[in-house]
Amino acid sequence: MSWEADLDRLVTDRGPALVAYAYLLVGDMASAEDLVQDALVRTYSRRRPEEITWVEAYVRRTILHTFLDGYRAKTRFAAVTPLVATPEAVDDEASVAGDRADVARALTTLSPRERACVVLRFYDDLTLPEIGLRLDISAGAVKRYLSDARHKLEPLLGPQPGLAAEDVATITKGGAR
Amino acid sequence: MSPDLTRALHDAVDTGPDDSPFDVLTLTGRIRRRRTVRAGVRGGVAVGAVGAVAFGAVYVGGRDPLSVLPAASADAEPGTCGSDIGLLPTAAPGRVGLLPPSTDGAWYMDEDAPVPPQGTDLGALVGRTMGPTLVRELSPGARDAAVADLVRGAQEALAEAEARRASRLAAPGAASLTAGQLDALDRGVDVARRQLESAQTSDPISGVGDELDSHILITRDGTVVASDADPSPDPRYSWISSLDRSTAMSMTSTELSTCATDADPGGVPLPAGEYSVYVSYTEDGERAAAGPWSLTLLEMPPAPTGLPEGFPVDDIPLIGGRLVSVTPTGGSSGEGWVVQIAVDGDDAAMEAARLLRDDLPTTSALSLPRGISLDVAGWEVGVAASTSEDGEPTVVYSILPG
Repeated sequence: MSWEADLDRLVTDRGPALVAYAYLLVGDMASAEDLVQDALVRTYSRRRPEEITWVEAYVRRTILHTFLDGYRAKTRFAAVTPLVATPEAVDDEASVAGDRADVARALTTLSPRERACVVLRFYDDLTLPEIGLRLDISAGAVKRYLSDARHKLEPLLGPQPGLAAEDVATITKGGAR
Repeated sequence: MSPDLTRALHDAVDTGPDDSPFDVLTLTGRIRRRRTVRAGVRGGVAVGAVGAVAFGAVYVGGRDPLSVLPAASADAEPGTCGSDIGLLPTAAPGRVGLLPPSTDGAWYMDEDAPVPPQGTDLGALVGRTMGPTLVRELSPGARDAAVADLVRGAQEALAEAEARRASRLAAPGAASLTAGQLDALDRGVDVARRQLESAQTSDPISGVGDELDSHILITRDGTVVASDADPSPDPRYSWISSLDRSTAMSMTSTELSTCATDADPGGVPLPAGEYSVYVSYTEDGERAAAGPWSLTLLEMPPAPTGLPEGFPVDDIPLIGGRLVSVTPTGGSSGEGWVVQIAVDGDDAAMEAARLLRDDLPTTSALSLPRGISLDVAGWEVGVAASTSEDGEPTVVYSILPG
């Protein structure tokens, strides 16, 4: 299969899920779509066609790093430019109702690294050391980010025992899907 | 009941809408462009390393360079790919202009400046990304709204500083505050007050959005052959005004690759040559074109030859050009090299860095941040613009094991 056909299949089958994943990180739909497009371009600029599940995981990883790199770049350039993207209001149509909307809204209160840790923990089902490796930070730093996230999320969402430092390494992989 | 984070996040991602939001043709064009450039440069380095004769026409794979440009189409809507630029009404002069990318790392004007005149040169680029600064008249409505925002923010900051001081002075233990702590509280209020005064009178103002709904158009012989796919500047990003608040400036970024037509997704890097750049924008409800500004695109030279044995040609794609020198060097973690390559192009060093890491943030500057160092495949690579002993413009790489 050519890379063009491979891309077509991935975008058609998993495009909405990739955007939804990016949305958890950036909190607005337009930025999420931009982030996924950039990640797809980066992925397919370098790679041969491969098994779609593997490629999807690679694209998700690229989304995460593009998100964090973009945040770092904005921080770095903020001193000389005013070019900080304005967060848009959460798109209710896209985030549906109920828990999903509440959680999406609550995630926007977190810092980029806190958000990344929460998404890696609760969507990608990674352990603390795995999150640390993915983000190139220590497991202790991951624990701190999750703890900070807990303090911000609990006033909005209620108790989140899964974010307690003593629990975060013990959640079963792939649980509660 | 509190939502379960794991379930909520999985639901959010895996049970979303079925329709993909992406246009695969557009994506394919962008990807094709990147694959072409990367393949050309990396292959060139490998060929260079074994001393083969250099090859040219990296960007177009040996075809007639101009054959990749979209053909003129009488049916194309004004301002779209393949259309005649003359179909767009000429804009009133002085409302919008393009500033060449800066060469000192800054992208904004330090002093008041009018809208840049048409006809100036945007430079000679070896890369295929362009980032001039868009300068436009600031309408009274946008100016008033932005001033109001700025003043409101400064008033809030002053109120917070005053409340913080009052709270600390009223708190138990206030008597034990040191003179330095009291001074800091006073200074915070004073700074906030001065910021409010500046906001009311003299600070540059900023805002979000592009009132002009502007696009960059690149033409060759009067035909639109490339454009920014998205509005430029991105309306979600902000502008900043000149000190006198008469003009607004925004970053732009345009990939210099062929635009898409119904028959072709485009995405092929523009061949070397002379081009004209226009800004298409909405004026009195109609689209108009300001310009042209001239732009020269250089051909990427062949990969350098004569690199020493053991040089990581597959890991580190070097910019094309003539190898001026390569010097072994040592570091605490092993042996490396300092490589100097002569290459023309105002953006040569920036393009060299972009070939190493295609995720560099967009800037409207042609120069790299001083001391930039990139992690590339286990190597720590520094890149800088320089000149050779003969006065040729060069790119210097410092390559050490990471």
